Amino acid sequence: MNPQKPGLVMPALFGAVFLGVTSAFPIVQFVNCACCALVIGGGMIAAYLYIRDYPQQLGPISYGDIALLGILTGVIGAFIWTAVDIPLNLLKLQFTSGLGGLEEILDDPSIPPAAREFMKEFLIKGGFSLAMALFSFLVNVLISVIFATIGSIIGLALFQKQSTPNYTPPPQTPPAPQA
Amino acid sequence: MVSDSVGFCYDHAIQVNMPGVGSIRYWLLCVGVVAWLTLVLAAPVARNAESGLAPFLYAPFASICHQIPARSISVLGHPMAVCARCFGLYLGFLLGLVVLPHWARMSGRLLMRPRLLVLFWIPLAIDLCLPNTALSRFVTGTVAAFPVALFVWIAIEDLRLSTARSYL
Repeated sequence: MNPQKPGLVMPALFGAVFLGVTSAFPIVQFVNCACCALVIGGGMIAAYLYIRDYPQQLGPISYGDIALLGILTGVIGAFIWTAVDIPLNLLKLQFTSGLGGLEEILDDPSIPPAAREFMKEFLIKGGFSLAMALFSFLVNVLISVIFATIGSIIGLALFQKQSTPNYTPPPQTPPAPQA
Repeated sequence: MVSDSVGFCYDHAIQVNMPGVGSIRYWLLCVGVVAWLTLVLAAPVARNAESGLAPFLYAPFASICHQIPARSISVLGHPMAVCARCFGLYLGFLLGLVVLPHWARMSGRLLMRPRLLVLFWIPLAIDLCLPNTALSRFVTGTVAAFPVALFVWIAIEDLRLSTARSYL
């Protein structure tokens, strides 16, 4: 029986769950501030799982396949990210309105004015709206797809066995003999 | 001439020309990266002009960068939408995309030994651990992203070829 390529869905799902949950979860989400580490990490996890299940008899994995895996991870991850983010944000809003003193905290002069203005706008005045959720989802899709794809490509570069180059150069024509 | 366990000759590999460079796809990718950088630069310009667009330019980058003003490069007295290191990473990616496909020797070596990528990340890792400056953060970010662009370009070309093959 000929070995077959493993499916893209399962590794993508695992990578996406990591990407989506960690990127939405309070405090943990700040790891993304380090070169988008969580989204890139999600892509790398998906790549690692795909490489692990890939039969060696099929030869090296192509960067195209792994890019496709990254795109899939990014799309599923963006859905999970938004799905986890919205209820958490609603919870956060209830918590902050319960505190009541958030405006006083934000009036602290040590907070940069731009950051204060932004936080007030989104936390106190803006609240939750469908438009904001849609904007947030579109941004999540864009970021997830771009960085998860880069993550999975980096994952292939790092985790692929070195004895099997992924890139085969086209045959070169020998230089024409000189007269 | 050096060959590995599968008999691949590196002297042959390092003379390879990149496929698809100069194609519409390649230029579209370059334009995409330039557009991304433009968004980063447009945020402080919009804030300087007191435009209502400014929060919408800063907000998308907030989920992928801390945006601390002290760690960001200022334009017109306002911080960019991302910190100096992230801006370096994006600029390094663009540089890699423009330079590496034309630097056959370097790209050949990288494609044959992809783990060489790690060498480019060492300065960034050291910079993270030591007291750093805006310049060091920017430069190490640029160096770290420089080779990644090559692999992304190869993946796009590979994807195009496999899609074309599936229609044949």
